[in-house]
Order: sequence, then structure tokens, then C-alpha cells
Amino acid sequence: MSFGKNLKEGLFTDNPVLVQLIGLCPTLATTTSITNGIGMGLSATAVLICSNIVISLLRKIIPNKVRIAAYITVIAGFVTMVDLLLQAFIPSLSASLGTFIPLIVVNCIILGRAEAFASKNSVGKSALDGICMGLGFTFALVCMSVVRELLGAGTIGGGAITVFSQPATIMILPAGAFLTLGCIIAIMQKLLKKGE
Amino acid sequence: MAGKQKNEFVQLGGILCAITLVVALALGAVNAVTVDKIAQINQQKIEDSLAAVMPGAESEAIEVAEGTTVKTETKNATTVEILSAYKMTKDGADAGYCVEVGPTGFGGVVDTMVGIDADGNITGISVISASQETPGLGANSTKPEFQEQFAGLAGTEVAVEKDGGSIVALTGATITSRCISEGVVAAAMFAAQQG
Repeated sequence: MSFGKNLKEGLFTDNPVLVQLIGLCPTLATTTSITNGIGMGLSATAVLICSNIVISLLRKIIPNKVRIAAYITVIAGFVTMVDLLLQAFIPSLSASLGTFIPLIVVNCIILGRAEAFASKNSVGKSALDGICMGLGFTFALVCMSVVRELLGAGTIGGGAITVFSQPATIMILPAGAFLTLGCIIAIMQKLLKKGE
Repeated sequence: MAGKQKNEFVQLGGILCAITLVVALALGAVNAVTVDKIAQINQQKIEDSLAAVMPGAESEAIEVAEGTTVKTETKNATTVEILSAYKMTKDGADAGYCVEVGPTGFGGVVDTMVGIDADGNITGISVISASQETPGLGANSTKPEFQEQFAGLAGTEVAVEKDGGSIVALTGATITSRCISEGVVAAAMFAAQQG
């Protein structure tokens, strides 16, 4: 269990979005601009690390029968904290991500890692897992949002640089999200096959 | 047997209760840190929008009951919620009203501040938040190019070109443009009711 190996798994070979295909809802919905993609990725990562640590700490105390309720309570607590902190300190990001911040509660990556990893492993390993899986999620979101913002709005960096003025609007609409995700997963599979 | 089962319930419930209690305490702490800051940011947003739609005027909030709505008498006859209203004065003279309206657009409420002078003409509008509108389309309503069209129009006659008015709708976002027009009409009607 080394950091490098975990990171490689999180980012590529076992990427939560592109390989495990979980957490697709925020991936499809929030990747309309790079700022949103990074903001969503890092918010979810923060929640994932915290919830993994706490759930790992409590893994011997939480009874098996009520574990899901306990996990969700912990996760919802952290999400609400992130939501309040964003509203207070990064209001512009909070405004553009809107309802998707509270919806991190039901992001299956977070509950999935709690159930599959943090509830069975030590605090250190769980924290590491949270960091790597979170970065993997962020990586996927950034890939998606770079493609969608460039093609759909003709800009890079949240409208900072205009590349061309006649963008294909469909790319920032929901249909564009599916097109982009499909293509990125296909490229990912091709690359992974090559790496084997 | 029954006693044992009861014990288990107490134990499970107790642990869950303890976890929720700790989470609630932590949330309370975070809330205490952020509540003033969030209120301050929201207040700042309102003040900025007031300054944008009616520069140099002083505002005095009018009490608006929660859930107050105005039904517009246009072709689309929309019911628009009035979020807040301000009586404006400039150098001691009556300068009309600023009304914050929340018309429903494509994805949700488009929070808009509308300035109306004493004659019922629009002095300017400012879209405070259109975060639920489609990015790149309806969300462009926060840009000044769109908002500048409203200044100088007679409040109750605002409409998009498709409905026979003069407002050029945002590309691919007729619904958002129309909802803002309806919001402006509602604001003008509300201001007229105030006298």
C-alpha cells in the first residue's frame, strides 16, 4: 500500500468515474465550466477524505445493522459544513454550483468508499483512499469540463480566455455531457488496454 | 428473549443518537462561524444591485410579506413573487422604487432587481442570480448587454420581441428572457400599487 500505487489506481486503473462508473450524476451535471468542475471535484474530495477518516475511526463502534444510517449522517454533516463554508468564503462558486453541493450527500462514490473501504481499513489507509479516489473524481471532472467548455462555450478557464466565438452549444447542454463522457471512457479503455 | 431484543434496540438507537448529536454539535459550530459572513454577503449583493439599477439613490426597505405575488396582465399572464422592495430617494426627492422579483425561468427562480422611477419607467435591472438557468444560454442574462435593453422602457409594457415587445431575447433562451420581462412588468405593477 504505497501512495503512488493508490494514486495510480484512483486516477487511472480504478478511476471512480471512468472505470467504476459511479458518481455519474455530478459528473454529467456540473462539468459545464472548468471552474465548476474543479470546485465540485475538490468539494467532494474534501467530504470524502473527512467521511473516510471518521467512518474508519468509528468502524468498531457502529453496529452493522444501522451502519448505512450512521454513514449518511456523518456524510451529510460534512456536506452541510462544506456548503456553509463555500457560501461564506467562496460565494461565487457556491452560486454557480447551486443545488449540486447539497447533493454530494448522495454521491455514490462517498457512500461506496465508506462501505467498501473505510469500514474495513485503518484510519491512515482510509484517508489515503479518500485522497486518491477524490483526486480521481476531480481528474475525471476536469477532463469532462475542459472538453465541454472548450467546445460548448468556446472558452477556457471559466470564460477567462475566448478561443472561438461560434461554439457548439449542445456540448454544454445535457446531451453534450453524455457525448463527452462516452468518448472519454472509450479513450480511457483504449489506454488501459495498451498499458496491460 | 423479548428483553434481549429490547436491549438491542436501545443500544442501536443510542449509538445512532450519539452520532447525530455529535454531528449536530459540529454543524452548530460551523454555522456560528459562517452565519454572519453569509448574511453580510447576501446584504452586499442586494446593495450592489440597488446601486446598479439606481445609482446614487438612497434606499429604505419596505416590508413585503413573504409569499406576496403579482399576476402580470400580459399575454403570458405570469404570477411573479415579490422578494423585497425599497423606496428610493435621491437628494431628498422621490425617485421611485426598487423591487426584487423572483420570476420562474427555465430551471428555477431568476432573482432580479428592478428599478422603477416615479413615472413608472425602468431605470435599470440587475439579475442577481440566474444560477439555475442553462450555463451559456439562460445564465447569460447576468451579462450587462442583455440588461441594458430594459433601461428607459415603460415598466408595464416590457416584452420580448416574440411577444410584440422590444427586448431582444438571449440566443437559445427565450424562456429565461421572457421570465425576466414578466418579472420587470410585475415589479412595475407592484411599484404602481405602492403609489
